[in-house]
Amino acid sequence: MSNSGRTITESVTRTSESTPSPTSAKPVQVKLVLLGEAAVGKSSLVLRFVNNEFSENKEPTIGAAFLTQKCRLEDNKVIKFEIWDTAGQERFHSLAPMYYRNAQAAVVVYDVTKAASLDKAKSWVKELQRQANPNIVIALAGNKIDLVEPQDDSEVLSNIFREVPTEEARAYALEAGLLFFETSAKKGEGVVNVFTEIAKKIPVEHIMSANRSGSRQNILNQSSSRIDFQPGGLNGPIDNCID
Amino acid sequence: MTSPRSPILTPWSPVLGPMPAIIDDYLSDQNLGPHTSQSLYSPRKAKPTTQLSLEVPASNKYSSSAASSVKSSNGISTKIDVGSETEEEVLKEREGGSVDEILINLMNRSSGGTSSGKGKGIDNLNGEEQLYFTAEPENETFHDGAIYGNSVDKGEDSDSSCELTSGILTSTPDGTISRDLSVVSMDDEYSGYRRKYSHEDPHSTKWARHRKHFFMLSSAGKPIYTRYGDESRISPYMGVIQAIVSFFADADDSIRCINAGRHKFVFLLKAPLYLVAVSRTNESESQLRNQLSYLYNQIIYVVTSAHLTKVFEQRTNFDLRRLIAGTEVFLDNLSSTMSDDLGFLFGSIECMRMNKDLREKVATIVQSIKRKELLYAMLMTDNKLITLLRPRKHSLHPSDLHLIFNMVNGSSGFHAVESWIPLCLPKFNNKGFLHAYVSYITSKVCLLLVSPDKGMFFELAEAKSVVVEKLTLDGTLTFLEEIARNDGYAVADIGAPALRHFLYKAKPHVQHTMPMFTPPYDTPREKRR
Repeated sequence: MSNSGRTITESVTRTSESTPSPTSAKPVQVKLVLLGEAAVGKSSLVLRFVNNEFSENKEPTIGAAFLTQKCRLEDNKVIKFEIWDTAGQERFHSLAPMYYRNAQAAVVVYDVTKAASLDKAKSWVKELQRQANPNIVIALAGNKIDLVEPQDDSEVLSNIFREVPTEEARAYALEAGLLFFETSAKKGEGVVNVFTEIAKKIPVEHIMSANRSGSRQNILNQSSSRIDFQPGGLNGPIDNCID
Repeated sequence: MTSPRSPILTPWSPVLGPMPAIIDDYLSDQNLGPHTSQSLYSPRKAKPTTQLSLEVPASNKYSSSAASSVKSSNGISTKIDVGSETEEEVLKEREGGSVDEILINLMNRSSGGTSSGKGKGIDNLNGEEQLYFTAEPENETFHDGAIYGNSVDKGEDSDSSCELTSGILTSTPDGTISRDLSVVSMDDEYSGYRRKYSHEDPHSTKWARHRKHFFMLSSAGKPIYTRYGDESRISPYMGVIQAIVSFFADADDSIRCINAGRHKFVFLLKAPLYLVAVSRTNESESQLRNQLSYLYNQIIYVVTSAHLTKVFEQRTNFDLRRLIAGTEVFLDNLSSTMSDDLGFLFGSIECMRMNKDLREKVATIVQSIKRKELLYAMLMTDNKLITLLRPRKHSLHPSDLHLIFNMVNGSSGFHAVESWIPLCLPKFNNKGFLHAYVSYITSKVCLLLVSPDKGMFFELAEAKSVVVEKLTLDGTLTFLEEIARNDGYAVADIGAPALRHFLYKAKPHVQHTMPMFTPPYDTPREKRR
């Protein structure tokens, strides 16, 4: 099984670039993994980014879901995120290394209304820094800020309170060397920003040179290029994150 | 002590009519003893509020004196009466006796923390002894009040015939619910997903009114799953179940079923789990047990039996909800589809109706992706199979297929993404995981590829794109989608006049077919018939 684990990661780190020019329209593929406690909104975040959708009361993810999204940067580089949206439940923890090994980026999500979810996020960060790719770009995202935003009509007093102050999380992120964001998948606030900032920070040239010698490129290219056959993928704003 | 066998307690089929009429029938038909009829028409005594629980007639442990028969696995039809026929009030008239002791034993023996119940009092009613438990320290009474409350009320005053479950309400003395503190509500911590029924109060009328309940608990008495309400709030009931089960376990016996009036309690004991169905749907014991084993298999599907055994060996009081967190939605979906999908009853699969040539064409296309890391490949819509590719040696058991269908239909999360899911097919190998690639290739048609190897995601994703390409090439896919949208046929299409409905199961193929329900049979209420 350990062999097979390697296969999956190898296959993901491949790049399809036959022409390694960074300015070409051909996308650089970046493997990104979402981690975090159950029910913090990982799937909602990624669905907002990929399909610009949000559904209330979403069923929990089981196993992992795979999505792709292209993102064009200011310098005309196109990055194609291959996103592994993992399940937050404890029992899937043992499968997580399969998804974060060799990932170039990780988004660790917590829920600003639940202090415990930040603790879980910290333990994910620790695990990533210890075991994942040493160059991995990690972003910390505090989700569900819509729940703690002051309501326009002050008569409605929500009984949900912020448990994680922005500054506390920001200080932690700074200390641990993470990108830091607060997001609302429900309202779409800050979601795209997470991914574009990651894209900017990714050492694109490095990835491309590192992956130029992919052995099984052709087969794998096919698979990823057809991913957009998904019903959702077609409606999705393909380049919605152009800066 | 040794009460004569009362004729009223011979087994009888559930009665649906208005209560007084039934009682009359019984009285005339069965020639009841004088004290019984007398009580029926005697002015009602002030109703004890909290005590209407496990009323047990005088009978020996193994005497067969009750309508509510308790079947046990030894084949001895052990019969105790758990107040089932309270609607007749007959039970109240029977002499208390040894059964009191049995019940007290039963309560005391239960090892779980929740059910340290003691018989609190004996009520003298019409000179007869009656055993009851007060609701104060433990909530067993609520349980029984909830289940039997309906009948109690009906029997008591005929004018409250529609008030199904007021028994419960009265049986909660002051609304305080002593909750088992060792059980933490998982709702907040583990699942962001709000289940449809998860916020129902188990002490409410609404909760008790559901036609079929499923409960799952560990042998240590920890609640694992309830179809309605929140698991952490039903622990008192779990105590009762555990008490009943362990009572029989002490006699090296295991309880299988309790018939209690219109309700059936069916037990499935699969250590370390106990599963119980409480139903008034007129389904037979074996049907209900079959459904319970589906629920059990769903647990295995998620954690594998090897892991299940392991965690409970390490800690008998392990809280399994932690392990199955997030899959309650599948248990819920299973519970509700089992009630109206006949595939579960027949152990068969329904296939999408389509032209033979078309199916062969699709099958050939799916076959073209055959590779050694692929175990099963299937194309399906909703709950119908289009085609299935399998190795010659490993057929796929219908119940495993049902679980797969249940997973795909149970969550809307598969639509926009490609999913990679570890799953265990209990009939294939209940010890290990397989990995399934799930992807909707159109909005209705779903392709599911199963591999034993967890690293094969991209290989299977590629296989999927081959299938999609080939299916798209000549428009087969659009055709399939169209069929899927307009699936189902009316009974009139068969061309047999006066035929209302039929079901056909082809045994060698484990497949069945049936037409759509047409008016006037198409309402949920009519379907139940």
